[in-house]
Amino acid sequence: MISPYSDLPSRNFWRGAISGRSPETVSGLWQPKFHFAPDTRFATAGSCFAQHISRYLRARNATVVDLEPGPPALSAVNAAKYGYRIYSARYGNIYTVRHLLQLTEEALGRFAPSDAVWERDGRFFDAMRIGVEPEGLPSADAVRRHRQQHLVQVRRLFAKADVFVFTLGLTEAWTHRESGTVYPTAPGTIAGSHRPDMYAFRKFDFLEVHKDFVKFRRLAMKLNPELKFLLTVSPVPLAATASDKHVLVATTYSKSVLRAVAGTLADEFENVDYFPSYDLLSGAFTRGAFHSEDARQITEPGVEAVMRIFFEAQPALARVSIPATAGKPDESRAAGRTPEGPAAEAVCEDILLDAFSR
Amino acid sequence: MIRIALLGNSHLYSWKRAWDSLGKAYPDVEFVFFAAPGAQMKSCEPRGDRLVFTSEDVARSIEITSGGQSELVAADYDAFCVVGMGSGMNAVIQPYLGWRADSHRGEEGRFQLVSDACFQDIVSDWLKASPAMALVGKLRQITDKTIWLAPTPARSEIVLTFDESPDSIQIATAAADAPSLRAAYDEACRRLATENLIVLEQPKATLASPLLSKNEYRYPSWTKPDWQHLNDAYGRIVVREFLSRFQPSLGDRSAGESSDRLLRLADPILGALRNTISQLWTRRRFKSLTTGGKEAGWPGSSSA
Repeated sequence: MISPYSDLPSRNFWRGAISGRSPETVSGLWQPKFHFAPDTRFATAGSCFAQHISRYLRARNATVVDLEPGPPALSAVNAAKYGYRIYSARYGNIYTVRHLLQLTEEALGRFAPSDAVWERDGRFFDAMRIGVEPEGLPSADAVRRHRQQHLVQVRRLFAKADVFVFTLGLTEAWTHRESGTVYPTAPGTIAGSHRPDMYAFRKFDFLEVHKDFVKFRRLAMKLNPELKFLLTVSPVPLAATASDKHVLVATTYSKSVLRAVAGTLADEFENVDYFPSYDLLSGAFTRGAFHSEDARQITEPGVEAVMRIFFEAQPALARVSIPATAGKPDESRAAGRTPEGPAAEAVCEDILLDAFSR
Repeated sequence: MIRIALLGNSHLYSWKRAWDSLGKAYPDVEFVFFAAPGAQMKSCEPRGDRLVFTSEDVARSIEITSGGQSELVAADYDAFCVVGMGSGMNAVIQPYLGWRADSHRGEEGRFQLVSDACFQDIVSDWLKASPAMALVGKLRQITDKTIWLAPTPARSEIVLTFDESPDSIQIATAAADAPSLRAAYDEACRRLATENLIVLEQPKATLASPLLSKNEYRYPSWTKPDWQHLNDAYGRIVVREFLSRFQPSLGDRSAGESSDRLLRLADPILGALRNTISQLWTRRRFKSLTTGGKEAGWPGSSSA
């Protein structure tokens, strides 16, 4: 009798592929659809976990497009503070696919966000990328001028890249009740103030996330028909949920939707691939080896394990020598904090939500 | 006897020339110069209580400029002063070419908009990343004594008479926001100043405008015009300022005016002609570059 499993490779079997292995040695997790060359141009965006991918690509001297580069002398701390060297432009974290779609439509002049300037203590903030100027700007007009300049770069981005790497982070978002504009952070967290008559909580389901990405892909490919998309899902749990569910239940739902959408898109489109960082970092088999004490943050060894798999599957990039620091702040590594603490340098506005936790 | 080690690059020229004439007025002070061109001084490293020079070229320069020293032993000096080495107005002009703050008025060129806070942090980081501050960091590893930083002085205003030079274009671009750029630079210097690092700002009297030194202090090069370096007249002002701040009891001791006079006598007609022409040019350029003559409020300005 022949079993349909008998000729399958060892990676198809939990025993051997996972059990009996330390999570650091799991391999063959990704069979990429496309192989990158040393001169492949990557654009990166997404939730805060995407920052690590960008960081490791840069550390490998891979070509990461940066259309709003910071000054070369800017320290790592200040670069992160002002949203430089994190993604391919200063759009900050993009947690939801709807936000990504909005940004692209806005850059193309097809969308104008409502209530896009928030105020705090007489300073004005770009509600769509609230973290990039932490002290705000002197006027709403200044915010609009900065944003217009930023959008010009976003418009150029897709034509400048070969691969668009996007990490799907959340399915929950706060929206402008009347127009549906999605914000990356809840009003009142960093700036603005929460007004229930004006803002509404929104939870995107599978179909909505999928549809948004399909629309986004179509727009991006109008600007660059050859563009490829590499999707990942952030393994970082929700800091807080505004739904009526327990945060763990909300997290599981959110990540399941995102993982399923990413997988479906990769099955559906030839130019979309899924890189399984989430799968490695969220499995019980890691026994917490890659998580901080609160089980929320991914530690540097976790990021390293993921990126090892990435580069193993991309030999052309792997050949580029990797700097010892892998692009993370020297201070934290020198102080030996990285193995225990959260992975270096990620800028996550949702950490602020912790301040509101009881 | 107070022994002071002065470390730096070609901007030590004005200090050395000044000290040659001023030194005798300060018999209780000794300057020892450790100089190497450009950023070559980065080829040094702290070892125990001393700074050793790790490239042959630098070691040779140090031996010549210090009068035979092969290394700097911290215990031999009462204070240290780092001069020049990329710590000047470039820290604000270079960022300005690519990044502009909300308060900036200049529209010329391609630049990214940032907040004033961001621009200030950019300037501060630029200054912190200068070879001068790298050297300060190395010195700090070998001594707890006070370290001074005498930043690279502003370019001479004669630069504006050379329309095609990149320096001239940069200064012209920055002219619209000169006062605010100076303020950002001064703030960056203030941020550098910690208890054990004292920044010796360029004396206001030597500035023609927020970004430029007066032409009378420019280095008198006979071959190619030099707007980067200043002369011994400038050196005397800055050395006196340094010594009076270093130890108020040293006060202002007049000496060595003969050197300055000699220099001026050596260049009587050509120098005067150059000065007149360049000042006329500078006045014209400033008038056309500034809107409403806002630079006029700058203290000590003679050209705005």
